[in-house]
Amino acid sequence: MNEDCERMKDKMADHLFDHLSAPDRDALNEHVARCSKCAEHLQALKDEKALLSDFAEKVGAGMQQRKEKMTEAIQRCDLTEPAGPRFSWAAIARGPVTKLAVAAGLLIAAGFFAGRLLPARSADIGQLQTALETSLKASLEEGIYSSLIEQVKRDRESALERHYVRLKGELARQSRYEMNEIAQMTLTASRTATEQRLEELIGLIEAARTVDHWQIARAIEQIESNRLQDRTRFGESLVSLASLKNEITPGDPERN
Amino acid sequence: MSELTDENLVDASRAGDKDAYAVLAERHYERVYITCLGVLGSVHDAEDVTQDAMLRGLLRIGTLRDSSQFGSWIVRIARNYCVSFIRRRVRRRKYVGQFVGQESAPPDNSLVPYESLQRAIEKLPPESRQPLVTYFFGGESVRDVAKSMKLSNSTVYQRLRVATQQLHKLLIEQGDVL
Repeated sequence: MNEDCERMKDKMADHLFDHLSAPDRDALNEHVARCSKCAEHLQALKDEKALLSDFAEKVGAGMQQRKEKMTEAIQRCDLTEPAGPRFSWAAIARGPVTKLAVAAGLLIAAGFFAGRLLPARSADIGQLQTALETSLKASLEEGIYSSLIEQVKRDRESALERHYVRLKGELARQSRYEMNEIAQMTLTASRTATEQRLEELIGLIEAARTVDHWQIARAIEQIESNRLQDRTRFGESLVSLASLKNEITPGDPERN
Repeated sequence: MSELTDENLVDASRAGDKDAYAVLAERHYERVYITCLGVLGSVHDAEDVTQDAMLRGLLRIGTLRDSSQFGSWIVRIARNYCVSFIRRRVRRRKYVGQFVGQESAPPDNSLVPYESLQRAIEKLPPESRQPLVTYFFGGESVRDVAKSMKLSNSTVYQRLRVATQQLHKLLIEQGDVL
């Protein structure tokens, strides 16, 4: 199956629904005439379409029977049956929230009417005054106490704040001083150590120089000693040479 | 009673007249059934859901504001029923379908030869199945299908073309090559 066949597949489907132009239909027929696979495919599609139509016809034939079954069901249907969840004032009225609200309303109304209908008792002025005084005193005392507490709290907070700032400054100052001290101590210690090292180094150099001087002196002394020995030997050699010469030529007066 | 308009029948149904509602339901049955078939793909499920939707319509006819809109109203109810039916079917297949290969034998023997075709239709994607069912089972022209589905004619042709090819492929996969 080549690209031409793939392109023809779409045309075949369109051909089933009579949605093909005349040139396309001719091209399809021409292709199908020389391509057996496409001819088979087109035939399969046509058969499927026919089967679909047949099936639809059968389903359509049973439509009347289905309608009758539905009509029977409608006749059997109980119209008082609830039709699922929906907004209904009756349902809301039957709900638990409504019942609670009604009960609360009844209680309030009963309290109200009981208050209105029961006879009022004569008031005891002395007792009322005492009660009022106590109540006022208590409320005033409470007010003063609370304002005092507030004031103390504010003062304490501002004092704490001031102390905090002062303490912070003091700590910063002390910290700076400590840092300077530490720096100076470190510097001094460092300088002392350096000087000590230098002195040690100088000592070592001096010692090395002394040793060198001593070795040089010994070397010079050795050279001098060697020179003296050589001179002595040279003198002795000259003496022995002269004596030997005298022994060889004793009558030559011109040589003396 | 069949000469009465939808509005008259709706009014009578509201008053509890079941006969009036039966005429109304019969009048719109096919449209609702084809809609359900397009969504569900199974003729038996479509029948059950259509009946349920019609009965719900009877019980809730009092909530229909515009009597002339009964047709679209009942189709809307049926669509909602289809959606819940599909959800239930998915759950059922998930827990039961793995043990039972075939859910139930079709009661209508005349449709047995089309069982594999129906299975293939059921497996089609919804966007392909709906126009195919409306075209073949609703007996509507492409123009009518386009109008009812609010699509252009070319889109319907394109979907029919795709649906045909997909159906062919599904039938081959099922081993039902014609």
